[in-house]
Order: sequence, then structure tokens, then C-alpha cells
Amino acid sequence: MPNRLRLLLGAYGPALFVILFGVGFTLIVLVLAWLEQRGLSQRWIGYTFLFLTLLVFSMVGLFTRTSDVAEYFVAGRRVPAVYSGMSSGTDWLSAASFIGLAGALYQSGYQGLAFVIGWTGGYVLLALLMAPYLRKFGQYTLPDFLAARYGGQGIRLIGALAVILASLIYVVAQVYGVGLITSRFITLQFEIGVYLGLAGVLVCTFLGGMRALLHAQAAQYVILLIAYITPITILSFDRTGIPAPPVLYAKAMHQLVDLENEVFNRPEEVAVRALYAERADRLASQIEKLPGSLAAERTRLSDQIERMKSTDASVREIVQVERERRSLPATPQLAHAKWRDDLKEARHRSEPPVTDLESFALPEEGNSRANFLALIFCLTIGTASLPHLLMRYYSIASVSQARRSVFWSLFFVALVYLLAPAYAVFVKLEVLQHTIGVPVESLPAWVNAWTKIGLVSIDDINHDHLLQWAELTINPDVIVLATPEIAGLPYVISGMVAAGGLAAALSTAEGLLLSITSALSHDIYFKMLRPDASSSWRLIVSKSVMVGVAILAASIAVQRPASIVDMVAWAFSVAGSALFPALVLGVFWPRANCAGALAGMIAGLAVTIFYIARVEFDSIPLMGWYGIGMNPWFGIDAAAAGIYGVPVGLVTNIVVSLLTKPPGPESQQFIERLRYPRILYNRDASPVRSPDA
Amino acid sequence: MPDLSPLRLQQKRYWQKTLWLTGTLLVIWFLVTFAAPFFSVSLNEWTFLGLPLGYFIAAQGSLIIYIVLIGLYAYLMNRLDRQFGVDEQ
Repeated sequence: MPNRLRLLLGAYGPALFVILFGVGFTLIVLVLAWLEQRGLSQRWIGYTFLFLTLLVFSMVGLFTRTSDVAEYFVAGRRVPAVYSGMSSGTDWLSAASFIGLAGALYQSGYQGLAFVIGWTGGYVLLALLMAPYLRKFGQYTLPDFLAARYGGQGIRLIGALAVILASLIYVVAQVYGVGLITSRFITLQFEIGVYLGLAGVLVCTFLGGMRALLHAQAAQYVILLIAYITPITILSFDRTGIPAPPVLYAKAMHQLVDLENEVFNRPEEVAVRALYAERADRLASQIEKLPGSLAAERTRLSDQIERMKSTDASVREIVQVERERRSLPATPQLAHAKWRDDLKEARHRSEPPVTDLESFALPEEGNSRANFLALIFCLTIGTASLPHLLMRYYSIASVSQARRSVFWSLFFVALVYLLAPAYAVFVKLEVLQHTIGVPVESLPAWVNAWTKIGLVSIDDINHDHLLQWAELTINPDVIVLATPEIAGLPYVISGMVAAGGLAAALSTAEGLLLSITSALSHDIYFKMLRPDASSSWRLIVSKSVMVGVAILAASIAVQRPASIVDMVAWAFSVAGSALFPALVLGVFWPRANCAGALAGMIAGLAVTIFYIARVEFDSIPLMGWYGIGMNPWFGIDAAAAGIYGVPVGLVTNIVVSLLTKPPGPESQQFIERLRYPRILYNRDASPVRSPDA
Repeated sequence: MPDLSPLRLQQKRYWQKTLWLTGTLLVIWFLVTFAAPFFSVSLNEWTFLGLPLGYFIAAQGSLIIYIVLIGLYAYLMNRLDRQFGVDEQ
């Protein structure tokens, strides 16, 4: 009975696909583990995982290829809640979650938990304020919604630009993650890795759009979850005898805090911090005395070299000072930028570290609490307004399914997030036990491997040839990827984690590319420039746009603008301040009008961008801007720029709306229709219950 | 002239109930998201599963509460839809 079989496959198909895929992936890992014992080289393990991940995307893209517009952008709107929840959970779990989150917790302890709270708390706003209403509206893109609610092409254009900007910053962070993984695990050059990863993404989204995304992401979730759970479970079992890290890491946590208290107060640590404080003071005075201090610094180093040459200093020492002189910035402007960064770092290192359980660092308790809450605010609001996530709710079968789907996505996301604190705790314990106080020459192998690609650095400032905590810099993006090596697990586990990270980064990149593409091709091209374009031509346009955007993202990523978590936090602030007020007021406040929304979006966006640019960067050479750095307002970091942008956007929206004419009757009708999953009455005041169809 | 037909009133009631539910859940959400971290130093005096309570809420408790909130919302709203006959078929 082929018909019955097809029916059965239709109902259980997705579940079957996910289970089969999980079993297949586990088998491949086991085979590789066996091969590793028989002498398969690390390099080939890396290759296998990389190509396996890319193969999955391309195959799914090939099998689900489509040239129907509704299929391409919203997967035909008939996706069950659990499956779409899993898939949009993967869309959500980006390089920042997979690679960055545990790293942030490692680096900042309790402070890092702002990411956990913000990224999951945002889902509540998404579920309550956005998802059901967007599904009820049910078109293709966010700017579609804005244009329909407020009327006019101006709001569509600004909406599309905000979508593009937020998604572009976010996609750059993902692509950067891809480059990181490929450069470490298959020793490709960072740049080549970036382009290779993007090629994989393109094949999938290019051919199948949203429909391909849906299936590819469900498959990626399986890889991602297995890859995230395995190493930490093994590590936890090995160290504590309990294979349930998320619930039972308390003992390790207390052990860690005791050790931290002991290590951070060692006399040599205090001495090293004092040296960094000195360096910071020196840099501060140099910056003040620019441009003269740059020339002075150069003469000082030259004199030192002369002196060393006349005495019997070793060649190695002379070469080192020469290198220092060569690396001096060329112009006072560059020096200002560089020394400002160095100063920030030296200051940071000179401060006594905070233990993992301490909520807010004591010297500036109020400040760190304010930053913590501000960051949570930005991340929650941003989560509820990220275009690639919101777009997913258009693809769901009904309003009630949309509500359920948010539940499932958070459920799948939480499975990963619950483990992140355990990662941070176990890894930090390993690092403290096995690297601090160890001679620099005999550090574990992973330190060298990651130093080579510039993500771990050691600066023996007191020249005692022993490593102190303050002398070790580990880029937080390394933590999860290096966990298997740090724990001394077989290389196949490292490869698996790398595959998981790739799956996370690529799946999010896919979603983001699709949202940028739809903003450009659907909103700007089709709705504004060429409304008469045929649907096949529209798909051709959007596919070529996608390639262009992908190349642009890759070329920004190879500049390595900032760490993954920072870039992602900016994207949230941008999305939140531009889109959140307009969307929420659009649904809940009938009085909001087009002028208000436009003014609010522009004001919010402007404040956020201004704040990020001036607090984070001292110079933007591309624009020829130098010396634009400013002190943060009330000590809030650039990562939480939305704390200013969102309220400004909201207030501007309300004030301008109240000052201008109320929106017309078509806006009122539009809101009415959003509120009820099914409308009960006929608009011509003849209250007829609509037939159940 | 205000439209006072029964269906219109019914819809109004539906929307009011929706707002009530949304508001209530958002209050709980706010307490977990902002109030708990704000007072985390004091909360840390209690312990839960071996961890200080303030830390536990931020690291794991909040996630679990969020899942429950969203689940509750989906369940109650879908029930409300059926009660008022505004559910999709």
C-alpha cells in the first residue's frame, strides 16, 4: 500500500529523519575513533568531519530544491511545531551559543550569565508579544509587516535596512566562527576556511531556501547536541564520577572557587598584577603626551639597542627589542588607537580576578550590576526582534502551532544552555590545576596549538619563566573547542566538537543569509523597485543577491573585527533598538502611526550605532575617522548599547505618534485582524459567524 | 457609534483576557529576569542543589521558569481560542 506508506512517512517522516541521522552520526564517530586507534592522522579526522558537515547541507539542499516562491521563503507554511521548533532552535544556536557562551562564563563567571538569561528570557517576549501575531499576519518578511501596519514604502525601506544591518553583523560573527574552527582543526588558512564554509551554506540555502533550511537545521541540531554533550559528560564523569554535568557540577564549582581564592592571592600573582598596573600607567601618560611620546618611545628603544650592542647582551634579546621598535605604530593616530587598546587590556589584567560564584565584582559593584542588567535587557529585547528568528514564525501552519513552536525551540535551546556553566567550571578547574605555576616551556600541548593561531597568548611579564594567571590570555572562543584537548580526550572528540561548532555557525549563517536576501530581493527590489517582476525572476534576483551578501560577509570576517560574543551583542542591540518598539507598538498600541514608527526606528538605530562606534572603536580607517573614542555613559559597555537605543526608539515612537495624526481605519482593521486567530464577524457590521473552513 | 453586537463584545473580552494573561506572565518574567539578578548577592545566602541560590537562578533556574512560562502561555491561549471560538480549524 504505497499510499498508506506515504501517509505514515508524512506524519513520522521528520522524527524518523532525525533519529536515523543521529544514529548515523554516532556510527561515523565510532568508526573514526576506531580508525584513530589504528593510526588515522588528526588532519584526516578534521577533514572527514568538515566535509561530512558540508555534505549534509548540500544533500539536503539538493533534495529539497525548489523554485516556488512560497516554498522558498516560508516552506509552504505547513510545518509541525516540534520540528519547526527544533529547526529554529538550531537557527538560534549560533557560533556565539556553541562556542562563545561557555567561554564568556569561563572569562567572567557570574557576569557571563547575562547571556544565558538574556538569550533565553528573550524567548518569553518572543512567545508572548511577537510569534503568534506575526504568524497571523503571515507574509514573507518583517518589513512586510511594518509596511502593512503603518503604510508606506519609507517604513519598508528603513525596516529592510535595519534587518540587513543587524543580520550582517550577526552573520559576520558566524563566519568568523567558521574560520576559527577550520583554521585550528584542518589547519587551513583562516581566510580559506571562511570561504569554504560559506560555499557549503550557499549550496543549501541557494537551492532550497526555507524548506531546505528546515531539514538541514534539524539534522544540524542532532550533530550539535551530540557534540556539545559528549565531551563535558566524559570530563565530568572522569573527574567526579557523575555523568550528569548540568545538574551536579556544584561540587566541582566549590573546588574551583577554593582554588581560585588560593591562586589569585599568591604573592607572585599580586606582583604580576602590580606590573600590569605600572604598564597601564605608563601607557596612559604616553597617550596623554602624544604625538611627542611616540618619537620619544622610538628614541628610547633605539638607545636601548645601542646600549645593548655595546654591552654583551645576547642577540636574542637585541632582536626582541628591535622587534618591539618595529611594531611601534607608524603615526600618532594609529598610536592613539593601539595604546588605548593596550591600556584597556593592561588595566583589566591589573585588576584582581573575580571568583566564579561572586555575583558582582566588589570595587565597582554598582557598575558591574548595572552592566549586567543592561546586557540582559539588550539581549532579551534583541532576541525578540532578530529578523531571522521572527521570519521562522511565518513558516508555521497556524497561530496555535506558532505558540507551541516557540516552546519547543526554547526547549531544544535550553538542552545546550544548561550545560554551558558546567563547561566553564570544569575547564577552568583544569586550567588552574595544570597550567598555573607551571614553567612556560613545559605547558600542555593544547596551549601551544592554540597559541599558534593567536587565540591563546602568554606574556611572561615578570620574566620568572613560570605562568601566572594574569599572564595567560585565553580567547573565550577557544574554551569549548579546546575542551577535549584540555581534558586529554582522543582527537576524534575534538573533531566532533568542531563539527558541532560548524553546524551551529553554518546553520545560523544560513538563516541570516536568507533574511538579508529576502529583505533585499523581496522588500527593496520586488516591493519597491520592480513590483511587476515575475516570480521566477524574483528567485533569480534573490539567489544572486545571496551570493553577493555571502562574499561581503566573508570579506568583513577576514578582518577579524571583534570577538564573536561582542559582535553578536551588537547585532542584538541594533535589531532591538530599530525593530522592537515598532513591532510591539504595532501590535499592542493602535495609536502608533507611520511617522512615529519611522522616527522611532531611525532615532533608536542612530543612538545605538553612535554608541557602539564611539565606545568600542577609537578609529575607523575605512571612513578616515580617527580619535573618535569616547568614555561610556554611566560606565555601560558597548555590548549593551541597546540600553540607550531601545528606550530612545520607544519614546520617540510614542511622542511623534501622539504629535501627529492618528492612523487611518485600515490600520485599525489590520490590528483587529492580528488579534484573533480567526475573525468572527463580517466587517460590514452584519455579525455573521464565518463558516468553519 | 460603538459597535455593541454580541460578537464584538465577545472579541473584546477575548482580547482583554489575552492581555491579562500576557501581563501576568510578563510580571513573573520580569521578576526572574531583572529582580533576581539585582538581588543575587542576598539570594546567594541560600543554597539550592549545592549552589548559591542567586547563581543557580541565573544559570539554570531562570531557563526552566521560562520554558514553563511559554508552555503555560501556549496551553492557556490555545484553550482560550477554543472557548471563544476563534481557533483555526
